Amino acid sequence: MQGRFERTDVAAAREDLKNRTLAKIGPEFGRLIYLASTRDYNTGRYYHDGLAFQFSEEVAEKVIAEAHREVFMNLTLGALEDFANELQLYFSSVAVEPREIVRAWEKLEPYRIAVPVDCDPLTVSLFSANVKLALAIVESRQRAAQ
Amino acid sequence: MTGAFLFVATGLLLIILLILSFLQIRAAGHALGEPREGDGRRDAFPREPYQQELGVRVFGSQDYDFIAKQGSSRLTRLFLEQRTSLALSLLRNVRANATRLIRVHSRAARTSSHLDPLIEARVVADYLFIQLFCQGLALLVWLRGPVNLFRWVGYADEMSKRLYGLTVKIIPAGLTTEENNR
Repeated sequence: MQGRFERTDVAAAREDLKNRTLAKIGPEFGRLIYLASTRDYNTGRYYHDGLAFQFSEEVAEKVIAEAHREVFMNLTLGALEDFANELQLYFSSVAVEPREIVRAWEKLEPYRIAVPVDCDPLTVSLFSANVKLALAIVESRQRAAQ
Repeated sequence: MTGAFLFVATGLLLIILLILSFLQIRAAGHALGEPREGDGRRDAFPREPYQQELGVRVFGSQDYDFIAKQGSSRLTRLFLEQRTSLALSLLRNVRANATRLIRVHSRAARTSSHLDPLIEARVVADYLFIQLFCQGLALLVWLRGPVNLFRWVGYADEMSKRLYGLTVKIIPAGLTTEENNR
């Protein structure tokens, strides 16, 4: 009986996260950064007060970890063109001068914290490589637009 | 003259690849002499040779076509450098997984009393082929990049799956024997 409730809880939590939280974040990159930000950097565990309150901490953590991994894999293993477009969309949604974000991302490489735990090292390398290429493309598009 | 040169060059290349593969088989053989605690269970089911989607991205042409359209030689150079490095790592993984499979198979075969010589010969042949093929593919990638080589990598993956299929026939018996010996 309890097992059945847990499966329903996880499915319901997944729907809740998708419809109430992630749906409000347009760009895939935005979702990736958001999901990564729910992680405690000391423990690697995910926390979400709303989901934990409605379901349980364990269910919330499981659902967010799954969503994080799914968004990361979809972005990384998708076409590079889509990757660059999503990155540009994310930059335009942040209330900062795009040139500033590109420069900060090139120097500080903050996207490294967006990688889920236990990811295949080659997939992680592809993600980092794609970000570097996408940054160069976004920068050249900005220059062309001026 | 040119024909003779090409013939000699191809022959030398094959010899180099054979020597490299032989050195790897020896390394796998040395590892057999060093029993490791609990390795049987962990090594018994090596992970997939490579993720297909990763292979499509790295060895396909879609991303290269997009980069080429940007009209920047710097970008194209950066793209090819990155993807070449990834491709070589992928191929190294395929070879490493094949070596792990052979190691586990050999350990299980030592304790098995129902070995089929034909299957064993096929296992060795498939393993050698995977090593040679991946070395050759790595050389090609190193020379001209990984773009448009997806079909060839798919072939290496098929060979790895075949090797896995052959070796897994004996692994359960080998594992059972290890369990009984603990």
